[in-house]
Amino acid sequence: MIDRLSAQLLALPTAGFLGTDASTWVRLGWLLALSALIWMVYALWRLGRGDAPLTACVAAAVLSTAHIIATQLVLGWLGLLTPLAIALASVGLAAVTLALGVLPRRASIHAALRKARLRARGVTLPPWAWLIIFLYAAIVLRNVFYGWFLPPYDRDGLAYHLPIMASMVQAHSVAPIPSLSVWVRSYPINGELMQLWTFAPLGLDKLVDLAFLPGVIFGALALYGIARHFEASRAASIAGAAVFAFTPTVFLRQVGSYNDAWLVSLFIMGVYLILKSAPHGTASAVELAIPSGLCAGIVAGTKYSGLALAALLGALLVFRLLEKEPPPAGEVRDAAPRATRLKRVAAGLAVFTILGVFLGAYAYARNWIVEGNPMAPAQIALGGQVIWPGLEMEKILALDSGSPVEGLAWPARIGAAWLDRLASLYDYNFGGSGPLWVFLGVPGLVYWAVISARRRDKWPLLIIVGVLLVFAATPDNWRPRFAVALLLPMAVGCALLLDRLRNWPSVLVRAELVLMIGYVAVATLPPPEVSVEQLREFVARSDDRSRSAARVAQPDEVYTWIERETDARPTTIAYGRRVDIYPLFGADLRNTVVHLHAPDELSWHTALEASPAQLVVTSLGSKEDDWTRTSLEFVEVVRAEPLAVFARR
Amino acid sequence: MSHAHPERWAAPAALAMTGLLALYVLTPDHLASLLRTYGWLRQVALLILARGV
Repeated sequence: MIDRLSAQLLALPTAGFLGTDASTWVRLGWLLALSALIWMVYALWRLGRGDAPLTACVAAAVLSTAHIIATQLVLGWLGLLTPLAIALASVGLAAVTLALGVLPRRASIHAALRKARLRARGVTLPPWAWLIIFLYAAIVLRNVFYGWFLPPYDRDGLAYHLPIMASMVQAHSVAPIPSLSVWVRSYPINGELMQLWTFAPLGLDKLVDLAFLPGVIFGALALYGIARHFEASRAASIAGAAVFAFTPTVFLRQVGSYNDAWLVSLFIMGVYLILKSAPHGTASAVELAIPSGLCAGIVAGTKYSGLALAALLGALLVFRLLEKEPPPAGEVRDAAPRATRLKRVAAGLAVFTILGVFLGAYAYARNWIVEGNPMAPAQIALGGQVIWPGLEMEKILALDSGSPVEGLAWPARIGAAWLDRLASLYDYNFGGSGPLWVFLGVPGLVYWAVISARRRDKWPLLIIVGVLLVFAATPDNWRPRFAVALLLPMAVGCALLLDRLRNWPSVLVRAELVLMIGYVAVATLPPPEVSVEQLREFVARSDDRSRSAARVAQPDEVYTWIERETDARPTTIAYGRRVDIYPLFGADLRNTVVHLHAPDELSWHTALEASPAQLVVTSLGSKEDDWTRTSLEFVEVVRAEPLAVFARR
Repeated sequence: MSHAHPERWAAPAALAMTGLLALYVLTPDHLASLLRTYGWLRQVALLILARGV
């Protein structure tokens, strides 16, 4: 095996290494260097402004994410969304921050780094806390391994997240996509812009499944910071953050297109940054509003449910800005007068709204113009009055027949889902809460709520009530992945609870925490839906181009036929309803996928004939399938339930 | 937030949680997921030993 690895290394310049050719390795290096540079510039800038190291790291994660989304969004609006333009804009923005924000503060940054190094030397942690950190590193490595070698294969990713990204790449723009799939047309695009960031420099989808990994890790770090803010010890805060970090529906979503864990991680970062910044005067109110406004914009523009989290961030910001400013040390005077505080709120809220709208509103405005409903495809009604027509929520979240929750009432669904009685830990639909959620998280939440209510602690109560309100407003909230935000108060409460325990109960609970972490880590070690043989194929026998979604999409006869046919001769492909679009593109998006939207047979034929499509993929029994069969231009070449492929004669 | 004296509720709560956790992990589904990992690791090991990666 070592011989083979060294032979591969020697062959790197020509044949590549681990299935990745030399040019892709260089591009990978560029992507990682650019991402690290952006993060580092923002972290140093914040450090130079007096942030604590952890706050600077989390703020830099928010600023880098906002940087990535904002640059690509603006370039997309201008129709300039190309790898070169993205690189130039990013390097330019980082250079400006470096010149104006970092270099003039070199002395204070050096002092802050020195201080941080000295403080880090004095930190001691118990062995069990180190064990948690070690297990987390192992789980991240596992995720990197799967993200690196396996093609994208999760259902929503193939159906709409990745087709949105691919369409934006091919159009060099974020213009509306006239797809047959309502989700491709209407889904908010911030998560897909993160995926595009990993695609653009490579020209390959090798890393698209890892786009959310750094954000989810920073979410856990921010949660540790929130627990520390509420005076939990270091070790207990690590344990609390572990309740979030080791929840399967959170750590498994470090890989793939499901954005729930990433979305909530950004919300947690926003809460942390609001808690860590003290507003003094209008200028600092604006500064405080910037990171929380960016977080709000990112989460609102990622998923519809992000709107509720963005609103909660706005509410927490207002409470922060309304707080009475403490008098300077040694001075006795009244806190800032009411008028000053109101001015502070107005300034902060204005900045928050501007940033939130800038990063979050685009998809909703597009939907309003194109679909006539900002929340498309969901129908929005108020008091029985339909404001924006669309699909009813029950239809959107309709359960498949024979679903394990069919016929169960809400409490029974909560009980079954939270105890993972409905599906495996992997499952994104019904399972994935894991044992930490229910056995440590729920007691932690109850404990924190009780002690905060007794002490009338404003901030804990605001966070708990706010998160519970968002939970209550979330449709189908019994599904763990829709309720990930609950982990914020659960994790902080758990950290405080652990600090409160003494003697053997404390030892017992810590031992259980570590054992349960070990359990979820071991139980989720194999990749779901991929056999050992397939894994071997992808790791040892494939290159980055052949590690494509077409190899795992169903029916494989159809997708592998297209993959083979277009391997050397990229083509243009049209598709009908109920077809997973992403595998049609190829891992390097070599094929152009055309979105034809035709209401009737005649316009379908006209659109097909006018389009450059050489292949058409349809779902058997769909309207497009029936219509294509009557075409004189196209003939069926492959068929495997439930799809058929037609080629131009 | 830390307190010098243990709470009266701590011991029974910790014991109750232990019992519930044991019930959770010892259910057939969860034991099966551990067995699945064992089987998977065994397959990977056999594959590497038999044929190399």
